[in-house]
Amino acid sequence: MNRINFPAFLLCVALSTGAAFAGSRFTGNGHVWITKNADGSGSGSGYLGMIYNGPDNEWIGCQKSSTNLVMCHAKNTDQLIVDCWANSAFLANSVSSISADARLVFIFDAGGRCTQITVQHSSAFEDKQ
Amino acid sequence: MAVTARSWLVPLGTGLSGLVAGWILASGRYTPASDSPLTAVTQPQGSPVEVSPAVAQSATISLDDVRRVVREELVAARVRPAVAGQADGNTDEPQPPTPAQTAALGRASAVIDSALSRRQFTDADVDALRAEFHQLSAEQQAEVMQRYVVAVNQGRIVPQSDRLPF
Repeated sequence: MNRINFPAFLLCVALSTGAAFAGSRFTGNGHVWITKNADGSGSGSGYLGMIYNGPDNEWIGCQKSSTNLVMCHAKNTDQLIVDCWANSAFLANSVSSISADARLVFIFDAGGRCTQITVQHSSAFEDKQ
Repeated sequence: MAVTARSWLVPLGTGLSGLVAGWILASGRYTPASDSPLTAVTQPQGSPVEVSPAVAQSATISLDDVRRVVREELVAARVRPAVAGQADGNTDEPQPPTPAQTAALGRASAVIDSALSRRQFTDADVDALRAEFHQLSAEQQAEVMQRYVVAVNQGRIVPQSDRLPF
């Protein structure tokens, strides 16, 4: 009769339980991230919940009108600000899906036109407190 | 040594069994009626849609009801854009701006010119631009937005708050 290694058994049970109940979490700082290219194009991104909860003077957001006029802007911790705008039902649709704790990414061309807006929701992201 | 290795196998197997069982139980929550035969229903526009008879019979609405609702929605979808266009006065040709819109554009441009000269966009500027913005035509709004956004991205205007100008 083989003896069971009891500590090893407990470890496996704990690992199994952990795998079943513990969700993975985003471990980055969630700060606003801005890129600016030489031609004037660029992007802004950030995690809304983490930015709101953080102590830094930064922000990111988008808004849309009923006429599908869209505008997004972001300011990072270096106080760099970027904006973009568009008149697009498709991009307005993306803005509509933004929630309080989403990850937001917007990309703009040299003329300041939003060319892409990405909204990501995940259980890994921190909620606004 | 062999005994030690074998002693790991039992708890490891137990843990893996638990995971597999949990996965099977979790996936068992959703049981699509994939076993029931499917029939094809052709819609008015000719696109076949698969409908499960089991689902249709168990629901309180009949297939005729579904057909009727789909037809109504299709008709409404064709009518809505035309109605919306008439209500907004939208046509393919952009309408020339009214004198009021031209005046509002002048005031909005003055707000941006002033901000450019000060190199900052204050809350007062936001309020002033918002007051004019909704009077502008779509083309004029685009013109104002373009000026503002490019100036911000080039650092020629620095917004003093996170309030957007419309």
